[in-house]
Amino acid sequence: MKYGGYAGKLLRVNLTTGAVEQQDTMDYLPNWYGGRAMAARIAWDEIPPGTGAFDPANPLIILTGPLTGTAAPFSGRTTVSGVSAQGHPVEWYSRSSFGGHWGPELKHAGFDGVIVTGRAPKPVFLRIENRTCTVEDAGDLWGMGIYSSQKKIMERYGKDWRVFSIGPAGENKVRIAIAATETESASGQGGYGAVMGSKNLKAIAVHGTLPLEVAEPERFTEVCRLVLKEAHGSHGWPHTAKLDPYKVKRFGQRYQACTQGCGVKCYDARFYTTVPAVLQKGKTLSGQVDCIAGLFPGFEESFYNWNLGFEAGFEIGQIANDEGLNHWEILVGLIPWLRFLKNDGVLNRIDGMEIDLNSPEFWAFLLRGISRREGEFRSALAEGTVRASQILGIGKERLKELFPAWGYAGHWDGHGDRINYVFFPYWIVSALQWAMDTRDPISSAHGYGQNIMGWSRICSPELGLGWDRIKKVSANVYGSEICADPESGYRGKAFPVWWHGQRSVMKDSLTVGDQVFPRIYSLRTEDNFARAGNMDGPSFERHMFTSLTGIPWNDGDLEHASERVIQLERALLVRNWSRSRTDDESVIPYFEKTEQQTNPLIGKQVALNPEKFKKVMDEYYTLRGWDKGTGRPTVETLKKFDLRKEAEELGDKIVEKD
Amino acid sequence: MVKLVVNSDLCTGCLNCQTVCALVHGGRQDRSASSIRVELEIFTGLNTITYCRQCEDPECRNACPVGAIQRDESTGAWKIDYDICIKCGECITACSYGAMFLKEEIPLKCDLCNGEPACVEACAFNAITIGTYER
Repeated sequence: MKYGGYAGKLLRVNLTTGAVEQQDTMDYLPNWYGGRAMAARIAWDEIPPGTGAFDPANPLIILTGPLTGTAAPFSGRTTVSGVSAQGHPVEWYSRSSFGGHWGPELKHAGFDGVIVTGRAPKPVFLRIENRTCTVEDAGDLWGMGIYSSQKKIMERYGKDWRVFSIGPAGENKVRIAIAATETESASGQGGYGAVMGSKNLKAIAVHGTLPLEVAEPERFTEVCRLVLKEAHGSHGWPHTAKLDPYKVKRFGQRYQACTQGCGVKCYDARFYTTVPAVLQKGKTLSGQVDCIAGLFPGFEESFYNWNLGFEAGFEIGQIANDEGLNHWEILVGLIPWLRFLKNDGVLNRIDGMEIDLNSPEFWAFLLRGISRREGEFRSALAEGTVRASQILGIGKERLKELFPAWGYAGHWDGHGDRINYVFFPYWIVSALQWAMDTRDPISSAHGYGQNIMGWSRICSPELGLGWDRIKKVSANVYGSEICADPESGYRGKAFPVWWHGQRSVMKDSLTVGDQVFPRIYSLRTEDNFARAGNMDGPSFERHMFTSLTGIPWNDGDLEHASERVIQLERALLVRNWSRSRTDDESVIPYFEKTEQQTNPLIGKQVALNPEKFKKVMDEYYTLRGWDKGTGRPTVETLKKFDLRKEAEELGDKIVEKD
Repeated sequence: MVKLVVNSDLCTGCLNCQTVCALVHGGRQDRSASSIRVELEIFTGLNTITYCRQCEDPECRNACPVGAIQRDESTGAWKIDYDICIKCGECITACSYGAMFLKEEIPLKCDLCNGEPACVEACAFNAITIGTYER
């Protein structure tokens, strides 16, 4: 292998024929440098128009990046791509990612990724160890939950094996099915668990002892050390989290990394060692609670004010994981939608059981019924909330309050997602990110909205920065203070979407945690712009990448390669699904509702002005080199990114120049 | 003199200690080159860190038939002199803590990175800290 960091081979498995082949990772390097980037290349080359999520031809593309499994902090993640089962109005190309220790294990087993096509005649799993892969019978695993499936394989092969598995939801092609590893590391969005299920693929078990080379060991060691030291608190915010003394004592609460390489005390990631079960009486449960799973018990005095209590909430979260269901969809989309319908007097019972969000029995009945497609209502919900509303013919208006677009519940958007605090004008950026994506655009939205809000004194009263300072620091990356100005309205909102678009690709391709990067704000420098050694915060990823791989790129080279990925993904959407500006604008009605929070500098809640927003869309298309009328890359732009052949293939679907 | 002070109860399973140890000592990401190892318990969350105590009267040193394990008087680390080592593996068998490892027939042992252990700096949760003592 010419470059450091990479394992050197990709596994190609055709489950229809049982053929297992190995391909050199070099075929895609350096341009398609890992994860999401490499997946886009594979998708363009191998997903013909007309391919649906459950077609055997749909490749399930599971890829690590060069940094995965190395000493690079926050680098343990793996991306999953392919035609998505959750996608709406059509199943189209999208992506997801997961943490834990599976990706690093795969690389030590000699592979940078696994691309699975076809459909096995009967349930199987893949057994991957040190440059070998066999297709094994999964007859005895089929029907098992994600935890039992992992345990069974680990009992057979060893405790140090890592298993990425689906549960009953994936087996039953539930469109909100996850595939996951450990107790809380899921490829959550996208319904890729259902794609796995459609291939009769229960799990992928990996174990490896092979080394990964490092191009410049001394520099890489130093860069990683500096980056880890600079990292602040959870989510890249200024403050660190604390454990809850009561929960430490009562439930064995402790910090647990949700991803290999994580080096901060996180607000979201907690492991519980001893939680008394409520439904499974007499049992003591253990497992991780990350991110949105903390919402299962319900929060008093919030929009999510059901009250399951901690123990039952924990148990329901673990049941959802084990069954293989998407936590975000359940908690931010499905449950609030059901509650709206109940409060509106539209719906009181589901498949014979009364809707009672304070009852753990109801939650278990609901979730297990969805994953097993039991009853008319829960079978409809197995298609995801958006499709269920259409199938059942109810709750269409309420849906618009919770689901911005593409079949996904709100996420850092200032409207349907009432957990995350982001007000106007920052959610204009979220709205544009939503408009340009095929899923919730969260690895971009974390970088902008979450970062600014987290560093403001509103979310961090003690350690946060004043607005003037936030504006000044952000000008280092956006070129203008307007882009992060709380009183800037619609001005300067396209540029951050453009910039964070590339950064999002970078995170999902290298791979590094999307909550932490890019590093912009800091408490450790006088001017509060993140720096370590002679590196500016936004170039941390590039320094880790070059010292590890030996690929001699500067910041501009890595950003250009990352933007190329966005161009190719868009070209794929145009070629296979005729994506256009009309689709992008379908997010507008959702944002035309009044926001949930209030910007104190404005003093009142605001709604989206469609005409002003369309001008921001124009600016974005111009920055990307896309035709403003169609929202599609021009021939000229694709050529600029060395995508000449792709431009030719798109023919008259695209125009020469804007 | 220094030694590692380890509290496995605080280990989050990030493995930063293990990856950085391998990197510093072998110049690549080779798990078998690491002298500190974390055994993950993914369903109970109670991980275990295996590490060298730099014992006062070390079993590894006592078991070595050729006297290849010698104390670094500046840090207190017991280090293998590979010019003397005959790769018999007696030290690995002797260590009650299982804290010595075999890598391609060569024994591996924590050398405390000349007094500034990379694993300590990489652990953000104080599961691995450094303790000083007088001799």
